[in-house]
Amino acid sequence: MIWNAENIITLSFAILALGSAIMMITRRNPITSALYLIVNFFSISGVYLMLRSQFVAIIQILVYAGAIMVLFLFVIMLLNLSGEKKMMETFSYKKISAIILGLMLFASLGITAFFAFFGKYKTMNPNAEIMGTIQSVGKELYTTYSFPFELVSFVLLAAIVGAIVLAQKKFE
Amino acid sequence: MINSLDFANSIPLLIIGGAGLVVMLLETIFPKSQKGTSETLIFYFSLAAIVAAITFSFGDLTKNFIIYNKFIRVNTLTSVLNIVLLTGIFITVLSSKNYLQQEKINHGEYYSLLMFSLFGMMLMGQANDLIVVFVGLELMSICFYVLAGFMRRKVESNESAIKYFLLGAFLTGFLLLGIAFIYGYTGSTNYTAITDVHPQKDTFYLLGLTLVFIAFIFKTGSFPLQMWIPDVYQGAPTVVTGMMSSVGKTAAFGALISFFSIFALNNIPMVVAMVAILTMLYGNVVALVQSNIKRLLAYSSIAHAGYIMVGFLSINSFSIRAVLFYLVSYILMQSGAFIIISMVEEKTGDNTSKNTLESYKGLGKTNPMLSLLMTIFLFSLAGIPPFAGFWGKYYIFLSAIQVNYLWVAIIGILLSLVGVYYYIKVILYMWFYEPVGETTIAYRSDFSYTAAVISVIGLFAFGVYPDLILRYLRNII
Amino acid sequence: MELNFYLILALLLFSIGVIGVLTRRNAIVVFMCIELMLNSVNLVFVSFSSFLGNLNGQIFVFFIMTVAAAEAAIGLAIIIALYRNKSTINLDEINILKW
Repeated sequence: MIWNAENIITLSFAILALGSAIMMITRRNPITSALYLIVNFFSISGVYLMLRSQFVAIIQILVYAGAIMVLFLFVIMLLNLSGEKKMMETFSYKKISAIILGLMLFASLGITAFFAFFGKYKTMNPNAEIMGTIQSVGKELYTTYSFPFELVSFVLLAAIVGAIVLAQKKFE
Repeated sequence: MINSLDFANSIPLLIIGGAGLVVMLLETIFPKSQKGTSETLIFYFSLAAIVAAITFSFGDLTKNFIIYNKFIRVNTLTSVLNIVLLTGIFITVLSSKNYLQQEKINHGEYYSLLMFSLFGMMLMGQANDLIVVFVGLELMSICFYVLAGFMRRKVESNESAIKYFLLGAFLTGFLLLGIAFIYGYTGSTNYTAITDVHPQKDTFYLLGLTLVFIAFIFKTGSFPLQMWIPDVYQGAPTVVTGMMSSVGKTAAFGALISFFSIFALNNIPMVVAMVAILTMLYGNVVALVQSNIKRLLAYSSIAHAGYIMVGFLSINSFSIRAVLFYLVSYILMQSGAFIIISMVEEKTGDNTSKNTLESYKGLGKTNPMLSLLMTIFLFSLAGIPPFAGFWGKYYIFLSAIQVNYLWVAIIGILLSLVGVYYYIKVILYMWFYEPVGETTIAYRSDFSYTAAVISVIGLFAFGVYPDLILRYLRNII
Repeated sequence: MELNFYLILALLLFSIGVIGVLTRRNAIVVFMCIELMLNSVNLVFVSFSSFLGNLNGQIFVFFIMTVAAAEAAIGLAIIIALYRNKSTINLDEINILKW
């Protein structure tokens, strides 16, 4: 690995993403967890930028950090939740086995992926820079992918109807 | 680009998608005071839309096209699947009307969500791209989460919804990771493009396929990931349970058929055999000790998922036909049994339905018609001739024997004999016991009776003369 | 950076998400961990897309984001409905139906 500016920035975004993810799953207070998740989304957005996918990076911040996490924070504050017990207080075999299971999952996925692409794809495709622009993504989305694009509107519609059915205060 | 030919070849899809939108709007057009009118209108409109879609699906049986920019397939397999799914939802709609009124959850949104979920299920079956599989699966699942929690005043319904939702979303992560791996290896998510690449049996690629298979194991409720089924099925409204356990599973198995045949998953018969045997074993054995009829049928539905999984040992034209035949009979008998349960639900003071096996004691003396229908459904579920359930099991096990998996077939037959015990137990309770206390029928509904009678006629007709279905399946690959 | 770096990063995030789902008991936090898993899948898609020089992966990411937004709306609605009836969203106390 070459220690140039780009790689150092990528690496720091990656470390920030991992650190905030670990902080998120270990904090007791749901609000703290949510804030760490927002940090995580920002750093993943940074990684997207380093992958030359500028449009995905912007949408990542707008949709995930801007819309979805705000919704989460609203609900957490609405429900006025108290924190869970500390990790250590409820230390049980179940949790240890869950952590071991997660690590085993990572080992099997990671090793397979690592050896499948070992020595391949050293550098990004030269087209990546042009591909990530709004222009090329938009063109693809509204021509080739117009059919699934319409379908996804049904998912959103069903979600709106469902959310109203479940959460509206007076529903007769 | 999308052209008019695409629309002409996907009329059932367009009808159901449009019907969902219209049903949603019909609810809002009428003022609150005319709720009865709008409810009736929505009910008949949904039925009419489904009947129209079934009619057009019969017209698509001989087609073989890939439309909408290679996103959707139309062929015999998908048209048969569409007909099966549409019939299942038809029966569900018919049996829902009076149940919803009885439970005071008669909102028009129920029907539009049902239509949207049907749209998603049809997309899963017709998909020619993993994006469409994913979007269809999510459309179906999102509607199911809401329908499971539709009785929002009841804690059981809430719990059912949250369990289903958290596990479903968790498994969606695995599905997507699998799709990402397949994409990374082949460079595309399109079935046509992937089969053109002829992917080698690389470990990375196989890992991707396995992850997608795991997600489908969850959706079909097969062995390692079956623990959500009884809880979710018990808490959800009974008509919704009937729909999820029959139509929902059929949709998942339908998508699995295309997935297996496109990705040539014929080289993992041992994995499929273990999944199938453990699923049958778990479902049948745990069902023996259940005292709640909804839980009992939930475990029995796990066992049935195991029988269907036997058909996936080796995907060839015979086993596809066997699986489809099983799905037809399964959809009729499973949703039929849940219609009867929804009518029998015993009411207690705190307005929670009990659904214990005890409440079925002496039902034959107080409600002979209802008991007769239930007996037929249970006989068919147990695989006793002359009902369609028998031929379903026969063809499934025959397909296993044809590819030299006699031992799987023998284990399956033995386990289905274990299953006969708990079905017969319910039948004995109905006919040979005295009624305990007050066995009141929750409500009487001509619509539900009609739906149950339609199912019985289907089961009997296909049981006596299986060629009625098989003749449509001949053209499959 | 080569492709493997991004893949390992994404799979690490995915596994952290899985561990979070299995260990946490608050329904909202569990749901946030699921969002983390979906995000790591997005990262896998985007990195494959950039290295293969193929746009399909980035398009898929938009579909995942839309569906994640829809799931968030539904999930939080279910959580609110549960909280109204039960005044808790701790998964250990959700036990009327046996797990």
